[in-house]
Amino acid sequence: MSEEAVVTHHLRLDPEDVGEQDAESLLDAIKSDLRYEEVIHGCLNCGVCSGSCPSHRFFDYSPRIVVQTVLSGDAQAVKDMMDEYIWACAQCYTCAMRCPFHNSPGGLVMIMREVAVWRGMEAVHRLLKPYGRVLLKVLSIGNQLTPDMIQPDFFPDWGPKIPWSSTDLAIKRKAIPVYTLQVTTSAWRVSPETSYELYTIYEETGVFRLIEQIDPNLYEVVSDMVEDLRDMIESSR
Amino acid sequence: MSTSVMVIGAGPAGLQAASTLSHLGFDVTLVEQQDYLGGAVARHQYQVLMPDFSSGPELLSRLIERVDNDSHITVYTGTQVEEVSESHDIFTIKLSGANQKTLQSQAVVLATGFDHFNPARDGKYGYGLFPDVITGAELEEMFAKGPIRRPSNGEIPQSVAFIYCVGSRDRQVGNTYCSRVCCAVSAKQAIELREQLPKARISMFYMDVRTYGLWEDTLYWRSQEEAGVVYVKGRIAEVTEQHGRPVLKGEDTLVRGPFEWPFDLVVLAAGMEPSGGTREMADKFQVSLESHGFIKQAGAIHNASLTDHPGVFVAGAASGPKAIEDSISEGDVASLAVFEYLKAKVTL
Ligand SMILES: Cc1cc2nc3c(=O)[nH]c(=O)nc-3n(C[C@H](O)[C@H](O)[C@H](O)COP(=O)(O)OP(=O)(O)OC[C@H]3O[C@@H](n4cnc5c(N)ncnc54)[C@H](O)[C@@H]3O)c2cc1C
Ligand code: SF4
Ligand code: SF4
Ligand code: SF4
Repeated sequence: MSEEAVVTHHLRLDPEDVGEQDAESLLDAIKSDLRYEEVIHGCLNCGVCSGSCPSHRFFDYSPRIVVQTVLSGDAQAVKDMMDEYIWACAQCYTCAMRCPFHNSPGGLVMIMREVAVWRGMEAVHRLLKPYGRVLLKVLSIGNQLTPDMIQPDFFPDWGPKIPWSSTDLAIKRKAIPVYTLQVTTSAWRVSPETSYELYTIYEETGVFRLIEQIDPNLYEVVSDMVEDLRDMIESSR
Repeated sequence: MSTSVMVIGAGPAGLQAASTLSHLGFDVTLVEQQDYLGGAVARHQYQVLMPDFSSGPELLSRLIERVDNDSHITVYTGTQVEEVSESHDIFTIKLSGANQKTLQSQAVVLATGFDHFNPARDGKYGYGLFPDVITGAELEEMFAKGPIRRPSNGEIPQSVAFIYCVGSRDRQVGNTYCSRVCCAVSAKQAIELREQLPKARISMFYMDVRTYGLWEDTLYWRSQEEAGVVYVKGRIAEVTEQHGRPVLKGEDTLVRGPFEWPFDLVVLAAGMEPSGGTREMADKFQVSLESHGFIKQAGAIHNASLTDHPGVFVAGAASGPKAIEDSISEGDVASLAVFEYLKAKVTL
């Protein structure tokens, strides 16, 4: 087999690639993602995905055009899409349920978003701004939503019971007969050892480097946290 | 001793095969499970045929008369093939139903045809849920019975939509092939509809228009030029209902982007699948199916009627979606292949 004939699928989260934003290299990262062949087989240009897509109905967004643009191989056009266009997708996967070619345009968008995040694209700085608190939770304890984050004003779509649920939180959580759930600042009790392992993974895989790049302030907070925890764990050993 | 050949299925392909085999000197038994002859053309009462707008009933009576008036053809309707055994290249076939006999045949032609894809299997079209969503075959039956009306309320439809590729070219339903005739049949039906509905909006929602060969201008162009039919390139993603009318949801991929479009009547161009009888006979006569479930044409392109079982031949839609004219031609092709196969064995 010739050298070129071997398609190599790299782990898309190659720590070496953090920050690399050359258009060709972005497209290459998308197409060589392990999941790419599962989500895109070809495309009939039929529009069933867009016709099914809630975002297509309300925004200038068509999953068919995302698929066609990626297939066209126009790296610059793909890069342009990653700045704003693809972020209109709601990740509902109705397109994947309906596509007659068994593609998953939503899955392609997911890959593109992950590449955009990994490469620290400008769009990601903007888009992640409102998620500082969620990111901090994810980075520190591996939870994304915790009971104390549920404020009625922020979650009107969770229904009329939400104001009631968010009052007297500590008492309500105490009533849950599972020991690990009787907390309010995390979804369940997270041991310091768990966080310690989590930090090691983030470090090895380049996640911390990524955070440093897209949100330096957050990175500073997280670094302090990591250092304190490590001191604590290592001195107790 | 005369040489007898059994033809199974009495649609256009089987009727033609029976008659040609008799002309070639064989004794023919034509076995049909229904109690009428003519296959899909009779079942759905096609009045006007694609591509030439000739008469369906006339075609049928011509094919059927030839068979009825031929003393070398025995027709068994309401009859099924129960059991098949084979020894020394002779098939012993036990029939059940209206004619319970056991016969011997030196060769068999499978002309067991197709079934329509049942659109209720693909929930997105609302077929079976919304009364004004019908299939192309049901539209043919409506043409036969009288003026076209909305099933929901009996009113004259002011707008009609055709949805292409229903149950074809779709991995989600397991049929990745094109059914070949539905584009052209839909164009024919739209032209016919125009005569009854001079003012109605008639729109075709397609992914590709496959009126191949000579049908391009005689059907596709003509439907626009003479019947004012509008073509929208965008495959329908979903049919819902609002205020008692079906609403088509999709993307106009060329011109206008997203749409939600109400129609009075929606016609699903449902594709063709191998019939239950085709699968069953393939099993009983031990012939292979190709990857889509039709009978495999083992002779590939040099002879469309050869299966991979010597002595068993195939004609018509049993080996893949095709039009009536091709099914009839294959009735002849299979007859000649039978002739060639048997002439080496017996003196006619
Ligand atoms: C909506 C629609 C409209 C169409 N209109 C046109 C048109 O205008 N022009 C055109 O050229 N084509 C048209 N076609 C295609 C046309 O119907 C087919 O080409 C044709 O019917 C195929 O003929 P056939 O004899 O192979 O199969 P069929 O017509 O399907 O006949 C098969 C026969 O075999 C019988 N059978 C099946 N299994 C058994 C068994 N085990 N034992 C005994 N009998 C059995 C069945 O009962 C049936 O009578 C249309 C198709 C559709 C979907
Ligand atoms: S997953 Fe995204 S592209 Fe697919 S239908 Fe949902 S919103 Fe549209
Ligand atoms: S539904 Fe599938 S085949 Fe059709 S346009 Fe979308 S991605 Fe392409
Ligand atoms: S003939 Fe036309 S409607 Fe039928 S499956 Fe092929 S492209 Fe679709």
